[in-house]
Amino acid sequence: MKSFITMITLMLGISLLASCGVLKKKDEAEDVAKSKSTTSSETDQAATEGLESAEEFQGVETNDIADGTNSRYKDTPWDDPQNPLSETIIYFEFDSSEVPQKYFDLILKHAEYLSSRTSLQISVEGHADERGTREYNIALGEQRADAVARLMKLQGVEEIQVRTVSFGEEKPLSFEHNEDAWNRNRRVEIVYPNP
Amino acid sequence: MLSIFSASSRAELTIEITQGIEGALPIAVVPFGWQGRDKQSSTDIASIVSADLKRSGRFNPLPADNMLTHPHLAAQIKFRNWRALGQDHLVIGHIRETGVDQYTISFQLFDVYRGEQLTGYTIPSSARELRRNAHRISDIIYQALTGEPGAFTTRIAYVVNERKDKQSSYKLRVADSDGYDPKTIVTSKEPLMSPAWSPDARRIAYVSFENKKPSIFVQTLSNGKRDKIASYRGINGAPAWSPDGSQLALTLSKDGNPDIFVLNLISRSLRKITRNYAIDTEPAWAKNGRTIVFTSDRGGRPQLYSVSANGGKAKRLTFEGDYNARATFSPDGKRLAMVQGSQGVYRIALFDLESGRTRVLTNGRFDESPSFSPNGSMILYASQHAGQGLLSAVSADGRVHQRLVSGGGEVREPAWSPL
Repeated sequence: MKSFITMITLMLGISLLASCGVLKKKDEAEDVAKSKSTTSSETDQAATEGLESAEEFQGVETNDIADGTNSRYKDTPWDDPQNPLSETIIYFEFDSSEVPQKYFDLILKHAEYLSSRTSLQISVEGHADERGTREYNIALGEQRADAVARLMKLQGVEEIQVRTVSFGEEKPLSFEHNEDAWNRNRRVEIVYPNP
Repeated sequence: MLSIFSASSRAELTIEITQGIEGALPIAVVPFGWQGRDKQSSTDIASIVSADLKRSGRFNPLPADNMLTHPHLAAQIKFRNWRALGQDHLVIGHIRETGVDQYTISFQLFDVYRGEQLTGYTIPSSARELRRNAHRISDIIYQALTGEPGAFTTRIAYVVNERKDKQSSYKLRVADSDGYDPKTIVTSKEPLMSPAWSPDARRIAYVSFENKKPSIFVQTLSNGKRDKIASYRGINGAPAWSPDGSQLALTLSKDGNPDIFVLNLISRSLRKITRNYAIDTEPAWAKNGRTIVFTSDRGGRPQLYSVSANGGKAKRLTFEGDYNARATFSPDGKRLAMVQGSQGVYRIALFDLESGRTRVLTNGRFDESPSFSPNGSMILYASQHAGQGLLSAVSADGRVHQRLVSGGGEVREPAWSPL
């Protein structure tokens, strides 16, 4: 019942945004900023390399989010920390599978990139925090992954491009047992393929 | 990557009694005598029996250090000495080496006040079987004094996550009910969940995320053979065996949202028994095989419901507390152990099916995965202590609390084997 209502709400939300004509860029919220601190060492290394190339391309206007970035990341723009596509984590409120509005813009960016590359397939992975029972949390994680996948498909991403899976509470980002850990663990991750 | 191998024969889980054994029966299990060529086998039968009886919560065994004499033959017993120590019952015995890797264990159980033997047995054993036979002796003593079958020769399955350098290694292990002799039956880099024993204790069903998607496997313990029995689109979870072992109830979301299905293991036919937009999961079979209890949030938040195993209208069971989930039936079928959440604290509670009353057994904060011992006297469950996942046990009347301390890794999802 909850997921049905969520779906209707989301569809209304998307159509409202579309009718406005302009999707305003929202400010990064604190916990999205936190997500950057959890990037892997690989990305940290890439970050220092990316800095040099960013200066090169300052002021270049472009429609395709993949163009105009460092050619090193031409085929894998999601690995480029300068590219909005490198933000791949969406966080959720407790006991909720509603995608918070502040992520609509991000999801739109991913959807636009994917819908123009129909052979590219991603995995959308849902997670839950540790509270509550494990199998119920698997179901909660799936609801979250489905919510994100649904938004993408509404924006033109093909069904076959998005594979959803839920890990419930089994693969947390943080192994602590406090609010901060739980906030970080209630998430959906967009996972692009390895080259 | 998967592998199947055995671990060494030592305790991985050690038991700490954390609360109360008042009202427990005093009993003295005297260190057994030894007759043999070589030095005594390291298996200390009296210690194992003492620990078993203590762990049940029903007995308060006298520490060996408090014993002034160590009789191992009936003629050596002076009952008044044991009466003076306040012992109601006395167990004596000895082990005799009768050949290469051959032993005979003899024991006798006495009523101290009447000065009479209640029971006694002689059991032949190999070295490898000594521990198991000690547990059999515990079963005999337990039954003789409580009238109920013991559960000391049973086993427990559980999941361990050993994290090293941010890499997880998930293992499904089977150990004796006292934590000894853990054997790893599956190892994986991806999560393992929800182990469930078949009613004949020969197989275990579980969820594996190998290949990064969940599937349900049934594994035969004697030969390690694995049978992938469900790998549909979406969730494949929460396997639960029917009492006759011919069917598995499961959670599948292949039709769009998680519902309860029943798979016939022989014909492999699948039937859908709940149809609802909500999350329906965590099925548990009643002992008559006709009803299934499951978790559903169709009313808003997770609560327990029951439905016919053939499908149909579901009936809500739990109305106390804002979160009730993960039911498991007591062996007598009269009660459910479940996880009850209230204001952010998750505890193990008992739900009486006849009266509809709930009784909270544990303190939380994140207690989950309850599993009854096959004689119904204890509930094993997963909990946390000092930030670490471990197993705990509580007696079904809530009096005795125990913590099973793990050798390493995060331990969770215990499943107690049937008798």
